[in-house]
Amino acid sequence: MIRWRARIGLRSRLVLAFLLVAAVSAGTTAALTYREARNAILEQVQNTAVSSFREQAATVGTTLPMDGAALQEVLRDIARKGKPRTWVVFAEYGSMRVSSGTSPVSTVITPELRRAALASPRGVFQRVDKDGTPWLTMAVPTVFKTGLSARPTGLVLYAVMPLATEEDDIRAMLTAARDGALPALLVALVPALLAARSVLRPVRDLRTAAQRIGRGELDTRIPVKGSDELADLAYTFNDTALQLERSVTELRRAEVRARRFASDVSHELRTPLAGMLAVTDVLDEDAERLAPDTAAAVRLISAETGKLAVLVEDLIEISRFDAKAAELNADEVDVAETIRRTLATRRWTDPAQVACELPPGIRARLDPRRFDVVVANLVGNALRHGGAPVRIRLRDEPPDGGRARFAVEVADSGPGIAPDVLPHIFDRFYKADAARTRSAGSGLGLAIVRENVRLHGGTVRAANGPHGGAVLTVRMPLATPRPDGEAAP
Amino acid sequence: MRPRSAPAAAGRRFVPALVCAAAALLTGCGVPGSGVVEAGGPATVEAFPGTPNRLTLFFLSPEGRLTPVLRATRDDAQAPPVATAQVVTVLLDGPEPQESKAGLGTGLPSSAGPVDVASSRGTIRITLPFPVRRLKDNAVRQIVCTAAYAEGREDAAAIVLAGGDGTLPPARCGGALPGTASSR
Repeated sequence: MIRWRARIGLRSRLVLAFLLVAAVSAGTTAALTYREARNAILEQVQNTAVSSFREQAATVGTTLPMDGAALQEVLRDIARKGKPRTWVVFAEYGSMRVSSGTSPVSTVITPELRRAALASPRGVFQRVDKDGTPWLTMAVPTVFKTGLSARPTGLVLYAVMPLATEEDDIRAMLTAARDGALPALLVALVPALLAARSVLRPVRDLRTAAQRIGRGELDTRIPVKGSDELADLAYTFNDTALQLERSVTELRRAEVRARRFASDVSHELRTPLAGMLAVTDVLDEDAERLAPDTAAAVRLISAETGKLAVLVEDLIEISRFDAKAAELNADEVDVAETIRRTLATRRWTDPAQVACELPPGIRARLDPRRFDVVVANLVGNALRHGGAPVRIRLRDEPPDGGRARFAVEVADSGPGIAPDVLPHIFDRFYKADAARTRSAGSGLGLAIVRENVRLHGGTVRAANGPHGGAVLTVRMPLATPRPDGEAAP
Repeated sequence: MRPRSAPAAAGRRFVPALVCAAAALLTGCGVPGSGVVEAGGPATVEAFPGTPNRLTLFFLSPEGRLTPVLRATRDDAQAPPVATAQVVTVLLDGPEPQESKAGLGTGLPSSAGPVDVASSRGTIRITLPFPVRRLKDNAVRQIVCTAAYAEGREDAAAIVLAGGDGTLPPARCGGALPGTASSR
């Protein structure tokens, strides 16, 4: 969930950054272009209007002072010739106020414009916003030629022109800028997504590779493309994976060597032990004829040699598991019958010692020798550490993962297993009773049980029964897995 | 919540930039008003009557601005120019009805007394039949400019006004636009 959010986060952050950059640049460009274009439009209109107005005004011929009616005619004429559009023209001279329109005085012309026109004999203009409508107001003072120079006549001509058309043009430009910026943003989305992909794909590859390493595929490598930061990361990843692979290989080799050593030692001990066992058998028989002290020593040697032989056999057995050399010779058997035979072989037939509850009819494919070891070790362990009576129950088990199973439960009547010991009782050489360092068992019995059950694709669990006493339960499938199938519980 | 604070901070940095861009776009919308902008020179108009046959008199607009009026003398082109003393006398007579109708007035007292004009070494001395020291500046300029134009010297002439109470310092008309005239 977190990983998913982080990935979306990186993508959306990249896309957002791209869009932001696009928006800012498009916006800035649009704003600057708009401003320049607007100024150009206005400047062009103003310059045209002012110079045209001055030209028109220069065609005026007048008496000084002028005749009001004649002046009005002149003004109407100028207004008609207004460029780029007709103007309303006003004239001021002394107290005379004449215009080409209906009202002799304009409401748009500002006092500042009037003052500037009177102060210096130069053309002036001003843009005025009157009730939301923009106007261009112009003033051109007139001069007349005298003998040597020119002199202001005192007549000032004003022209007023609405700028509504220009405003419409400018607004259209704004709309165009906006309509241009939005598609630009959409277009920017494409490189944004591409860039996000180009960044996220190596990241995804890296994640997949890390997952594979985690699954144990230590030879996983990432193809290093280009020379950017992500390539550096991939290179580092590959390097790390290589080091990890080397270390793990070294560790595995060391482990294999250690196991082989244990196996070799066991095998080497086997032959002399066999000889020793033969000798101790003979000595046992003759012990009654020896002095009591010597007889006790001979019996001790005999017993310890027997234990040593069991230990060596167990070691050889477990080293086969470690070397993955343990084979499953599966055969279809009646489970109850197999258990009974195991008990009979070990002479655990006294019901006061071992009580059985073995319903017939449960048939399973299993290795009879290994199953014999499992049952014998469990019962032997229960008798040794728990105490009689030991109850054996065979039962059907609800299927797990679609496979029909059966369970064998071995419960003893002892004090049970301490909770802190429970997780460890299947470990090798683990002594539940720390004070008793020596016991009758090799210390490998339950470990061998676990390996054998695993080999069958089953599980073994240890728990304490409701009325005290340890309960060890073996669950195994009725059909064993393929010989090289999964051995994991 | 720590990882979310970083983009939020970045957002906070970007918001002002966006606001600025938006503000730049919005404040410039439409046609803004402007101040008064100078654009080129004045318009030179044809003033009637023409140069040889006119008197140039200066009266005052309602705001007190010096305003020229042109009066025809005679249709005869060969007639000698009107003497400066006579022109000043006409000025002292005040605006005609048409000129008054246009709002023009005079700052000078009307007087029937004689006007004497004496010219020597570039200085024109005008003796008026009334006291001159209490005349307002624009009234003085009315006489100065009228006399200067009558002499045909325009801004060049230094003119001294003398009255019953003494004389004023020399003055020139001023306000002409030689550049404009020569360019047209």
